[in-house]
Amino acid sequence: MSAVQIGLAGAAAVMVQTALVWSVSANLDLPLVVVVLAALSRGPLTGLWMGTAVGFVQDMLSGGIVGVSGLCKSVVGVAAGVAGERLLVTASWQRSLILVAATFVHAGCFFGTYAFIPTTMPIGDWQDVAVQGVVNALVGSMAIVVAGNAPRWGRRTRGRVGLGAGSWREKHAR
Amino acid sequence: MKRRSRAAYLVLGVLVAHLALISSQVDSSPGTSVLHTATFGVLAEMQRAVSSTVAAGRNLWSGYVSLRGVREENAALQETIARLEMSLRAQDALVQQAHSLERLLELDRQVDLVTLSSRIIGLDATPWFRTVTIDRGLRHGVREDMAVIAPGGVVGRVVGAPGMRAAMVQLIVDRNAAAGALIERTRVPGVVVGSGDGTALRMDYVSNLEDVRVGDVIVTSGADGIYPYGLVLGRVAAVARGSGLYKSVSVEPGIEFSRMEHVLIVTNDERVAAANEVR
Repeated sequence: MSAVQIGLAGAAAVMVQTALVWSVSANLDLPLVVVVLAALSRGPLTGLWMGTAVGFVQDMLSGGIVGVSGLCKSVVGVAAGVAGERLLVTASWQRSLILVAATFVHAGCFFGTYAFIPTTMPIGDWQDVAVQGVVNALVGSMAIVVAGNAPRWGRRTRGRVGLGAGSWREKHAR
Repeated sequence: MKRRSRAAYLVLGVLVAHLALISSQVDSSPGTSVLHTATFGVLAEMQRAVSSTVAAGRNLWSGYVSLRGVREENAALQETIARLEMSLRAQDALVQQAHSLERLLELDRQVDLVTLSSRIIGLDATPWFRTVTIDRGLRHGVREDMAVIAPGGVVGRVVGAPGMRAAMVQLIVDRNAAAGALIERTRVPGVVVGSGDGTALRMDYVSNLEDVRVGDVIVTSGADGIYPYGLVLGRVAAVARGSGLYKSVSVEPGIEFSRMEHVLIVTNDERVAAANEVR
């Protein structure tokens, strides 16, 4: 995945998050999923920049203090990147486990930062975080399956188009 | 090794920059941040595009795909409309009668609000706050702290500096939202706040000595200077004697926020409403 593709995935994740229905939006942090997956595949520096950018955009479209999501997603991005470099996280279940852990680390950083800001309080508790962790892991696993198979599906589609084009050419050459 | 330490400095630098950004907002006096307004404006346009695409998809589905049995439904609806029209006329007469009685009794209740309709184009980008983005902004006369309502009652208020064509609304169920309130039956005052789970409300500062019953309607008191007097906030869902001086009163909001698509912004300014009608 190129840097541009990762950046686009981050922007799309934030926009999709704001267009979801309430029940899903309250239990899923799609931008976090994208940051963690990007960090796992490209390392801690990608996690840092991706976390900063995605978190900033998320904060701008949220009722919270600008910078808190950026800070927490940067921390999670770097940690996920380091984990991706040092641990074996190639299997889908391993990445799902990282996503659950990342959700808890992110929530800890988020609630922890807001504990120092008396004027603004986020909603939710650790039970909500647990639900969010599971949903994030499920969505992340699906994203891995889609991203992993996309080139194969693309080749298959192109192959079909190619065959069709070939037979058309053959027909008209005669 | 050198590259590693450079990366560590970079991480540290970014984290410090984040902390500086957060601190600047916490310490500074409230005001319009140019960066915030400009960025919000650009992002809101992206939200508008996504929202329009989603709406177009939904329309396509409802307009072409799921239109089975629409003829029968149409006939039934026509019949319902005819019945409702009759009932509406009867109610209009009653309303007229009530208005004249109200005038007779010189009850100066301000119920005629100047409002501006708006569509919700996006939800909060994080799961931790309850805000929505609406498609009206500075250009339409929307200002910070304007009340936002819907047929069921109070929705929330405009927070932050609005963009040119969009604004952010903090819903009343957000943990940071509050409104001056009254129990309609007994006129007992209190403060309604978001309960913390993002779906319900709580009424604070109601004395243990007061009479509060499940089902009592809670309305705005107008004391906060944001929400006009008499708008429905919700109904008492549960009430219990508190450990201190005050009762613990749970309130069910008057609005189903998950189904909300359009809202009204209370501008209370005839010029704003007129300008938007022309537009």
